[in-house]
Amino acid sequence: MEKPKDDNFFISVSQLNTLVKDLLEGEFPSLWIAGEISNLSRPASGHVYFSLKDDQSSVRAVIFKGHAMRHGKKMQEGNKIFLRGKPSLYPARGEFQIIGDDVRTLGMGEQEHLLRQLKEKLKAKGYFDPARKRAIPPFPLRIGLVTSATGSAVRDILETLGKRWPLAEIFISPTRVQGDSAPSEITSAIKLLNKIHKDPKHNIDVMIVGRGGGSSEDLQAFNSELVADALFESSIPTISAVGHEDDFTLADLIADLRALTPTEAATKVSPNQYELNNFMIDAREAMHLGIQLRIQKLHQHLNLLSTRRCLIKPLDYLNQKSQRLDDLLEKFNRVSNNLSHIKAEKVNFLIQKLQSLSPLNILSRGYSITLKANKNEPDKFTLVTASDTLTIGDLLLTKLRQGTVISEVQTIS
Amino acid sequence: MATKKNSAQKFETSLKELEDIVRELENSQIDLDEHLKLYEKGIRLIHSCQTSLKEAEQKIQILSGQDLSGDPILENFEHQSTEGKAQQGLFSVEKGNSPD
Repeated sequence: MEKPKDDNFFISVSQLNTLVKDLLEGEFPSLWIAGEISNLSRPASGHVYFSLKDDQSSVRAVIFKGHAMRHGKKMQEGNKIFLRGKPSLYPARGEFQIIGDDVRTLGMGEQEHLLRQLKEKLKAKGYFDPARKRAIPPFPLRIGLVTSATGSAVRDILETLGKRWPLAEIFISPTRVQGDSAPSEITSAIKLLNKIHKDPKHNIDVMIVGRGGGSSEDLQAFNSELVADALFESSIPTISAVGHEDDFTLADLIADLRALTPTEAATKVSPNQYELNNFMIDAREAMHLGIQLRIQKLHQHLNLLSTRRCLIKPLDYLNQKSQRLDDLLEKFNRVSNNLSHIKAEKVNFLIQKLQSLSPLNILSRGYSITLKANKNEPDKFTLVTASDTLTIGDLLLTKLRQGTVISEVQTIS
Repeated sequence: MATKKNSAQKFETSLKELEDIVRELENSQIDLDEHLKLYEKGIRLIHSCQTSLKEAEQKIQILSGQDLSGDPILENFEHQSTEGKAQQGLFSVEKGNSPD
């Protein structure tokens, strides 16, 4: 082998591999590649290594930890998959490889199709009808949990409820939340709580059904018809907490309320004791202020009343009345005096009139009254108005204004 | 179990009663005697609510099935809260914010 003449003519292996790597990565877009998994290995690093092959060819592939966490679990030796990735080169070995970031198992499309069909069916049966959503009671006394008794979900829920609403009693109806048996176990757990709930002694006010986050594959149980039926038939109001923001599982659509995480579900079923406490403190202040204001007002009213004249000078009233009495008396007297005055004048007038008619009055004008003494009764006298009643020798009594004269008749004419 | 249920139930009714009392007192059309009685009752309700919250200890049970008579088969579930009861004691005197 001849050494090249020009020292600058060669490049190192590292340089070569890097160049090819850059070329490959720059040239190819992200592709979906169909193939079967072989030589699958999952070292402690968390990356997943495997070969993707078809009838004639094979290519190395890697899914780095971040994506492997979501997609690595469902990969098994011999599985036919679609791998999304970019062709690249592992520079240390000059090995051509695919760097993958998403995996679809063959048949997934079929599964999606089935799920869509199921969704249509349940929708037609009214499972997702917003009108059938029940309200979550604000102060649940008993809370049922349908989840794994060992997962992070149950811990998060208990932690949250412990802080917010320690008065509630919690029933954990434990179940596996993933794997083949999960749908039937979740269903039984929901039904068990409902059976207990039938007994009025053990009424359960609300039920959280869920799990912590997982890949969409892990949530399959919550897309199963069994679980859907159990949720739909539950006489206990339900909250789903399936822990997957992007996808709505069937459970999310059927539950009376959907929470994104178990913690959120626990928050949604419980009142916050701190807020309650604040409410109570506000109530106490409001009541206190109310009673203070009221007492203050009453004080003011009392003060106002106590400065009233009738209370300060109680005799005023009496004096006023007695003065009035005096007034009236005086008026009465005045009126009655007037009246008697008028009467007196009238009497005087009558007296004068009477006097003017008195015979004594006539006498005073020079007239006289002549009386004749009776013959038999010399003490009695008869008024003489004509001379023919007299005889010579009769005794006459003449009354003058002043004094009387006795005379004897001598001549009659 | 009965006392537990009672305390949570009592809490709810007490709270509703308290709301009614505050509303009634705000209207203030009642006579003073009645006002004072309601005030006293309100304060008593607040005290009992706060006490029941302070003293509440969450009862957590695992439900494993039903026995023949239909009663639940229960087992206590151990849950160690990361935040102790001590912190819960802090709130009751003064207004506080939720740690959430």
